Amino acid sequence: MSETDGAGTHSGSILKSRSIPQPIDLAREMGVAQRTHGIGPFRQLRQIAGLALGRARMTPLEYYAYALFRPGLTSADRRAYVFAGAQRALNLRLSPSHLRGLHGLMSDKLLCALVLDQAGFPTPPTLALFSTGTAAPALRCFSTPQALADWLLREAPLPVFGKPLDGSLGIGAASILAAEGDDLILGDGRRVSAAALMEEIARDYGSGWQVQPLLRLHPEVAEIAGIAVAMLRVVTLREADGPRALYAYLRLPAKGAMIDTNQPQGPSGHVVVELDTGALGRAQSKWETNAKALAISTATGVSLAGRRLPFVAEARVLCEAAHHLFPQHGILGFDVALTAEGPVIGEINSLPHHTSWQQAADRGLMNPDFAPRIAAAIAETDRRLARLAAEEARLAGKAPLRRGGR
Amino acid sequence: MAHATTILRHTPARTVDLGQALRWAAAQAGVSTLRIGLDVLRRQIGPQKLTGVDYFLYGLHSPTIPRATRGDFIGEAPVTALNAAIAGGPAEVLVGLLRDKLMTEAVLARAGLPTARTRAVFAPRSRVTLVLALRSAEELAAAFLADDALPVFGKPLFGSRSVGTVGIEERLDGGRVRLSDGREVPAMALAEEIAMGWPEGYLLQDRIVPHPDYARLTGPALGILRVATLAEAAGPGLLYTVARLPAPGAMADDIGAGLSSGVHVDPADGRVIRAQAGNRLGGTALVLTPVTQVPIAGAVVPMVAEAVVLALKVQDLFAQHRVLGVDIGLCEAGPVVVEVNANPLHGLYQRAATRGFLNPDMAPRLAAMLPPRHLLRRRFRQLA
Repeated sequence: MSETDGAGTHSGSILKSRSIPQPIDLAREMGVAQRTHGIGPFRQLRQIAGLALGRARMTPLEYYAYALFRPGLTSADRRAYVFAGAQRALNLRLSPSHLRGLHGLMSDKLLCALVLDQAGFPTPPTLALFSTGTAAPALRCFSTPQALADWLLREAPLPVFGKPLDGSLGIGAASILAAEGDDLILGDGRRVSAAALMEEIARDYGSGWQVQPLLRLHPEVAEIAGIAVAMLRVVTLREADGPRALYAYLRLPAKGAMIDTNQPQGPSGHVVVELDTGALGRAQSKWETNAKALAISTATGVSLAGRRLPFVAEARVLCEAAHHLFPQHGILGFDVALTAEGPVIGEINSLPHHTSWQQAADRGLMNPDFAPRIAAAIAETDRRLARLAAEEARLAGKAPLRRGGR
Repeated sequence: MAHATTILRHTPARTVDLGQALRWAAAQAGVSTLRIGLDVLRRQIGPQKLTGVDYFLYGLHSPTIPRATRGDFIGEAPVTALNAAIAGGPAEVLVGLLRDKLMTEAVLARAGLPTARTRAVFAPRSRVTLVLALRSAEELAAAFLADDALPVFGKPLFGSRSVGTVGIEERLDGGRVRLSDGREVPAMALAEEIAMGWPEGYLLQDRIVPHPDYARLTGPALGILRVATLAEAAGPGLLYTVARLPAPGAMADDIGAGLSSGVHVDPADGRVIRAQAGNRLGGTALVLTPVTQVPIAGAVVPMVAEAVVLALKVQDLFAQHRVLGVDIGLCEAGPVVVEVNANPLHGLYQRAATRGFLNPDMAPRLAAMLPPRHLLRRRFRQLA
C-alpha cells in the first residue's frame, strides 16, 4: 500500500481512500479545558480513566471531541455516551449476527438495492456495475476499466454517482457530472483522466463499483447542503409494536465536496433533524469539539437557525416501513436523500455509527429518552432469538410441535 | 414421514437401523460385524466425522467402493467447516440472505434471473413484505380455498431438507383440499398447522411443473437439479450436478426423509452417470426410476447444460459467497432457480456418485480456495 498524503487520499489517487479522523490536538484541548472551564489536568485524567477503563471503552480523543470535561455535564450525562469501541457491541446486541441476520446483504449495496426495489421502496436504480467478479443479467456489467471508461465517456446518462459495493464513509465514491474528451468532470469540479480514474477503481474496488443516477436534492436541502448529495441519516429501532425512528440527522458536507462525509479540504458537520417536523436542531462541525456548536452550514454558509427540511416525516414513514422487511434486525441506519420528488433510500447500514448524532445532539445515545426504548428493543431481540432457537430445535427433531407456538 | 398427528413433516426424518445395516453389510461382504463396526467408529471419530447413517448411506460398507477412496467421503461437520472457510469473510457473509427464500427470490428476480415465483407469504408479525402477506391461519386457509388458488407449493420461509413442504393440488367440497400425495385434508387444519409450526414465515409458490422429458423420469412431483458451484479465481466454476428423483407418492423430492433417489448427471449433456436407490443403503444402483419405472441406463435429464449456465450466473451474482448449492427446477419454459444454499452439504452427490467430495478432481480446486494455513489442510491430506 502506498503512503497516504494526510488528506484522505493515497498519493496520486483521485478518490477518498481512507477515513479522516477528527483533527483534535489532545494537549491543546487539555489546556483549553483548564483555561476555559477551570478543570485541571488531574481531574481531566481521572474522568478519562473512569470512562476509558470500564465497559464504556472511551478514548481520550472522544473525551475531548465530545467536550466531556464541561462542568455542566453530570456523571450520568457522560455515561450516556456510547463510544466508538462499544457501538458495534450495542448494535450486535440489537441485531445479532446469527444465521438469519442480513448484515451480509446490507454490506452489499447492490443486493440491498435490488431487495428495496423489488419491495417497491424508492431507491436509485443501478445504471452499471464494474466488477471483476459480480455480474447480473439485468444489469449493465463491466469487467474491465477500459469498458467502464468508454461507457462513462460516451454513453452514460451523466451526471452519475459511483460508489464501491462494500464501502462506507464516502471512501471510493464520486459524482461524475460530465465528459470532455477523454476526461471526466467530477462533482467537486476536478477534471480527471477517465482512464486514470477507472484504473484506480479497478485497483481498489474491483469487487464492485456501482453507478447510479446522481440524485438532485430538494432546493431547500441543497441550500444547506450544497453540491453534494447530503444524506439524511434515519436510525430506526425495532420495538415491540414494530420499527420506530429513533433519531435523524443531516450530514453537512464540506464546502465544495462531492460527498457528504468528512473531507480534508474543510470542515463538514451534522445537524440534528426533528423527526416529525423536519426542524433543524443543534449542529456540530467535525473540526470542532462539542464545546462549540455549529451555527451555519459547512457547505454553503447559510444559517441553520429556524430552518426545516422538507419530506422528513415522509422519510420517517418510509424508513419505518422498510425496516419491516428486515425483522431480524433490531436497529438499522437508513441514508435517505430528500429529493424534489420525495425521499429516496440510498442505502441501509446494519451497524450504524452513533457518533455523529451524539456530537450533533450533544447528548449520549443512552439518554433518559432513548435508553428505555433501546432496552425494550433488546428485550424484543431476546424474545425473537428464543423463538428462533425453539424453532431450530423443533426442526432438528429436538423438541415437539406445541400448540400455542403462534 | 409426518408426525402421527400432523399433516406435514416437521423434522428431518431419515433413519437407518444401524444394527440391521451392520448385519446385512457384514453378510454381503463376508466379513464380521465387528470389522465393519470398527470401520464405522474410526470414520466417526476421525476427521471424516461420518455418522453411522452417513457410513451406510454413502455405501462405505460396499465392496464396490475401493478402500483407497473411502477417505474422500466427509460428513456434515467437515463439509460445513470447509464451506465456511471457502465462502470467504465472516461466516455470516450471505448466509442470512440465502436462508431467507423470499429475499433471495427478490434479489434473483431483480437481477434478471428466472426464479420460482412466490404468490403470498404467511407472515403474522411483519407489516411489510415483498409479496402479498397472510396474517392468520384463517387468511391462509382462505388462500387455499380461493378461486384459481391451486395448485400451489408451500414451504417454510426458512428451512431445509424439505421439512414442512406441501403440494396442494385441488379444492374439494367441505373446505377440504387434496394434497399432491393424494391425501385429502381440511384446509383449516393444514393452515393451523402451518401457522403453529412456522410463525416466522411460510411461502406459497407457483407449483413448478417438470419439463415433460424430465417428468418421464421424476413423475409429477418436481425433482430438483442441484448444481454446486465455486467462485474460483478464474471465475465461477462448476463442481457437480445431481438430480433428485422423488419417491413414489411424495409431494416433493423429500431429501430430509431421504427416500428420494440421487442421480449423478453429466453436466454437459444431462446423461445419467449413476443413480442411487433412495430407499436402499448406499452403493445400491437404481435400475428403474422410482415413480415412472423408466430404465436409468441411457436416461438423459433435459436442459442440464442450460441449468449449469444459470447456476453459474447465480454464483456470479453472489460472487462474494464463494461456494453455493443452486437448486434448479427444470420446467418446460426452461430452468428456474428454486433455492440457493449457502452451505451445500454435498451428501446427495456423495451418495449418487458413490464418490467422496474430496476426490482427486475436486480436492485440488477446493484446496486452492482455502486460506494457506487452514486447519483442514492438516486434517485432510487431500487439501494439503
